[in-house]
Amino acid sequence: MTTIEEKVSMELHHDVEQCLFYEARLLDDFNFDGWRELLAADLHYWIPARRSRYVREKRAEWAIDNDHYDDDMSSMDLRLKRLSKPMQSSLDPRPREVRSISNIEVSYGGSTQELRVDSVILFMRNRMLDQEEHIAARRQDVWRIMDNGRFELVKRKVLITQNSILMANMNSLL
Amino acid sequence: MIEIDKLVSEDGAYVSREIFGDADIHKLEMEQVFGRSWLFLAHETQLPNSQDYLTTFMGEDPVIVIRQEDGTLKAFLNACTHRGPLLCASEEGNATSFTCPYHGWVFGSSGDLLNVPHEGNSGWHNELKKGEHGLKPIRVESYKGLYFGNFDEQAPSLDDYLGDYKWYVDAIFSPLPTGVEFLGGPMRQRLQCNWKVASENIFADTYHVFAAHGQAARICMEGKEGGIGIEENDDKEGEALGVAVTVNGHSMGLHFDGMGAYVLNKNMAEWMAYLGSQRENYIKHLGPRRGMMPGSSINGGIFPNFMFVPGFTFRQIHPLGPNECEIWMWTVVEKDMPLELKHEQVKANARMLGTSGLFETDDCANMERIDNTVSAYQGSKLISNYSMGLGREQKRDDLPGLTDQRMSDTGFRGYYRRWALFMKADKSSDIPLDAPRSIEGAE
Repeated sequence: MTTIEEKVSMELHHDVEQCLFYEARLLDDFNFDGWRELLAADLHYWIPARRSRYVREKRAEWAIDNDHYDDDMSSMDLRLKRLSKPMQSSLDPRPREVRSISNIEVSYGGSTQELRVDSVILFMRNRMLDQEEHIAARRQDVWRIMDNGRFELVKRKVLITQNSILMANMNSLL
Repeated sequence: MIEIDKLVSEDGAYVSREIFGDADIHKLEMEQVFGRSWLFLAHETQLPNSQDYLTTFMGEDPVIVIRQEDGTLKAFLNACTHRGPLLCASEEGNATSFTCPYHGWVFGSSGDLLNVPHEGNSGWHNELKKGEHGLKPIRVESYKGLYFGNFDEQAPSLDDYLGDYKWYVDAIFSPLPTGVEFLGGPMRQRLQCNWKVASENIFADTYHVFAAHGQAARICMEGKEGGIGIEENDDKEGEALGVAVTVNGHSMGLHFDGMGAYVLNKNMAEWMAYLGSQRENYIKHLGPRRGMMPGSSINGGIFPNFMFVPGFTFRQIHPLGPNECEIWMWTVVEKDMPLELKHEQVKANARMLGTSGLFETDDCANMERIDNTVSAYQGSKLISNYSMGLGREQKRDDLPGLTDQRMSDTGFRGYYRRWALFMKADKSSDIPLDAPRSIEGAE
């Protein structure tokens, strides 16, 4: 539960929610230029590997692990260039994608300029004629409130449910 | 009756697509290929401490690999000897014993059955001979920190199995006296295609790089000088053409320019500076020829399913029936590399040939497209063509193995000749090994 100091107004909560829905629509529409405008210059976009270990396991987490994404703005730019120029070997024909965003919780994350936003994403994708794929994830975001009242994405940690990726690739952004 | 000679031509250049989707052939492979090959289990740095363990697969069989108190590694089928449940469901960890969750049989890290519930009058009446119910052991041997398992006691030693390919392996897994390090756990990725389709690409496919990855390569090369060394150019001669090599079914495509591996990386200058600072050490450790391999563009693999593109990905393809496989991908770095570059290498691996890789997505799509046609009846009767450069292979005085220029199907042909030998042979001793040669000019 959020404390009194962290609590945001219903209006702000609504605005953040609309921003997340808008963002999902940009990605569903392959509008990568539009999505890029939502990103902060100091972006950290992270989809860590999920491991299957016994709860009692004493052995520590890996100091460095093979995460699916660990990107700053410069490497995200390379990815967006690639996604924006599909080649017939992989991204053309485009898959059809739908992102459903729910379980949205918004609180002030230590300052009045930054919001901690938790959400759940259900991602559905269908490729070629009949290749149905999906993944679910919990997202932990930090969004910055800009002077013009808009938001920019500073940090996103995406906790996917899959260990072995059951989709043909993890190229779709979550 | 499966007639292997009708599926793979003697020179390995023509292969029936039935081998990429037929269930009977797949079943025979489990016995003939995966039952007798040396299969990668782990690198020593994945299990640094006594009683560290990890779980993996040999073929489709779950296997557990455990570091013993004396420092050696043992491997066992990861199955309780009583009724068969997966004994250990954790992908890695450290444990002194493993208890089957079904009836509570307890096995030690040495594989011995230590304890069973109701051993006395309340159940077994002390008649169970625990000494006969230890975990099923698997033969394990190692080379340069790489541990491999083999289900066949009659198979040749790992050393003989690798043969002259060791000359190349040394440069990949022991570029410096301190060796290499496997970072973290593997990325895992399912793919709807036969395991050989996913394997052959990294074993030997130089040809696909620009057709399949042109877009990704152009984006990564923007504003940079140089190249990977395999760009299309019919005026190239000699060393600039690189080398394709095959030994005992293992293969490699490589250059000796010392720079192709990292040109696609984000901060190319940092990598070039690192390679420059180590070059003298590589040469001191490996000799002048192999000392140029670190940092060069290289792809290759150890038959049948362990492979690498140094600077990018190290991987194993586990089969899952004839039409599916699982790719396991690791990042491997020189132990002496600065921590910052190790972090960068993990990120670059993910971005290039990882699950979300700019290049990997092209490969996966093409492999799926192969599966689309080879599993249909008429398509399965067609022949796949691996004849580029057929007849040009030679034994050079200065390089081990059978070689040709890199842009050739030399490695594929060696791979499928080897596959056919395994599929046909009644026993391991019937599978000939390439005679080791002394290579005077190699250093």
